[in-house]
Amino acid sequence: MVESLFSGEFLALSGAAVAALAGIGSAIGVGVAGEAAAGVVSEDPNKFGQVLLLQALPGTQGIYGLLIAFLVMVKVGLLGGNGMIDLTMIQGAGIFAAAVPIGLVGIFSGIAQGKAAAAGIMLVGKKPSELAKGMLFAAMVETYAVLALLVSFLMLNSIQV
Amino acid sequence: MSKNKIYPFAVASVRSMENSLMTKQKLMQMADAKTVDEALRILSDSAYGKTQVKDAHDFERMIGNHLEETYQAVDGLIPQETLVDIFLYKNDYHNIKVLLKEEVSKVNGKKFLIQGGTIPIETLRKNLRERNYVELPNIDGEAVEEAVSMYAKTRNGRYIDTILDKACFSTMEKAAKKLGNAYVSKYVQMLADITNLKTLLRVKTMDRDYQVLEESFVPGGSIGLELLSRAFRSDSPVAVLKETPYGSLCEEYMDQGFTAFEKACDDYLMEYIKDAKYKTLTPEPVMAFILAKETEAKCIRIIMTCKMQNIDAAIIKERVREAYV
Repeated sequence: MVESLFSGEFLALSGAAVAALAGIGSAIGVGVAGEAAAGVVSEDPNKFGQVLLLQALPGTQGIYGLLIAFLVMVKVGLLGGNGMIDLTMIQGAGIFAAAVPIGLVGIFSGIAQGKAAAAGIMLVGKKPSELAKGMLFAAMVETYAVLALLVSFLMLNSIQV
Repeated sequence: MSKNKIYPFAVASVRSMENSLMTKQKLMQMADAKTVDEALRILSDSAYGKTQVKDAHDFERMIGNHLEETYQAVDGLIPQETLVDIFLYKNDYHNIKVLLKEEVSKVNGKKFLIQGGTIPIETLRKNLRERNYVELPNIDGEAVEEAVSMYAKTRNGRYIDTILDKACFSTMEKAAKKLGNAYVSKYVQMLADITNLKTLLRVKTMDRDYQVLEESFVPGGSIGLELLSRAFRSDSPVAVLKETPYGSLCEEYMDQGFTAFEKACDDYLMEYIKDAKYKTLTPEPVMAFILAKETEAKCIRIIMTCKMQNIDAAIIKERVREAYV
């Protein structure tokens, strides 16, 4: 039983799962931004289009997580139709480690970006002409999600199976 | 309230509503208006214009309706009601004062009642008449009883005011303590202190007895009655009050007469409220908005009243308070 937990296959699958957890951050972030967006729209329905853009920003972390999870699954042959390939424990652990950056950074940067996006939405509520600036502030947080994606991607690519 | 509780919807709504606040320039423009009708026109162009009045003397109706609208708009934003209620207790107590005075004087005080308390006026009237305080949860029944019996004894309406003011401040203080929000607690404390400082100055200016000060003292502030009485008895109250957080405020404005000091006090509070402008998710901006609207209404009252008395624009401008936006 314990041995199967440390099998290469299981570790690799756990990696895909961890990567997908980035969606937690996005969900919270988009949720907070959505509440703020509803607040602005309740006062001025015409601003719907503008605030929707901002609300969508924290959603990218989830997509990055999905991307890495897919890459992991492709790498271990889960999506090929021929069944999963055999992995050593070292390989499996390597894949797991590669997925951790986007999983963890995705959660926290998603939440942080959600708050920045909510603030941007309030900015639009008060000064509609400043949409671009509000988006920029929120997009700054994106940098770190992208960096984590890059690290995860490079690590995953360099693991030989 | 948990420290991390956030209210994106409420804050975002309030931020949008802030656009309807009048800027200081707009208020100055009103003060500069040549006639009272011109000032009224500027007012009608603002958010207050929803209620249109023909006669400038009716401007109070515009303010009343607009404030009521504001209270209603804010009320539904935050599920945790005490947060907003703390700022509405004063309206409840004001209405109680009006109703009690109506009762003892038999004069109809309908036009003095304000909508926007935590308790609907009809409920308040009914339960107050029956002296039933069970349905008035935030009202200090003992204080009402005390006010009534004190009036019966002295036939002096002032006691109704002072006793209920005390009760109002202690209700606010209690609610703020229960809420545990540092911003609110600090505000309530400052409000009590500033009220007491104003009382001190007023009593001193009017050359009244110490007893009046003691009776009007409201609880909840950081300056105790002991310090205040020392300031009252001293030849230079400013020197005694220098050590308090309001030292610079007193030093600068206390000697300049009551009107200037009152304005300085309002500006001092507004300076504190303005902190909320930089909060995005916590509930402070919601409270700040209520207070900003109330200050704005006060400014408009000052301007319109002065305009009707044909007071010089320069003097009116001196009295216009700082605005939130």
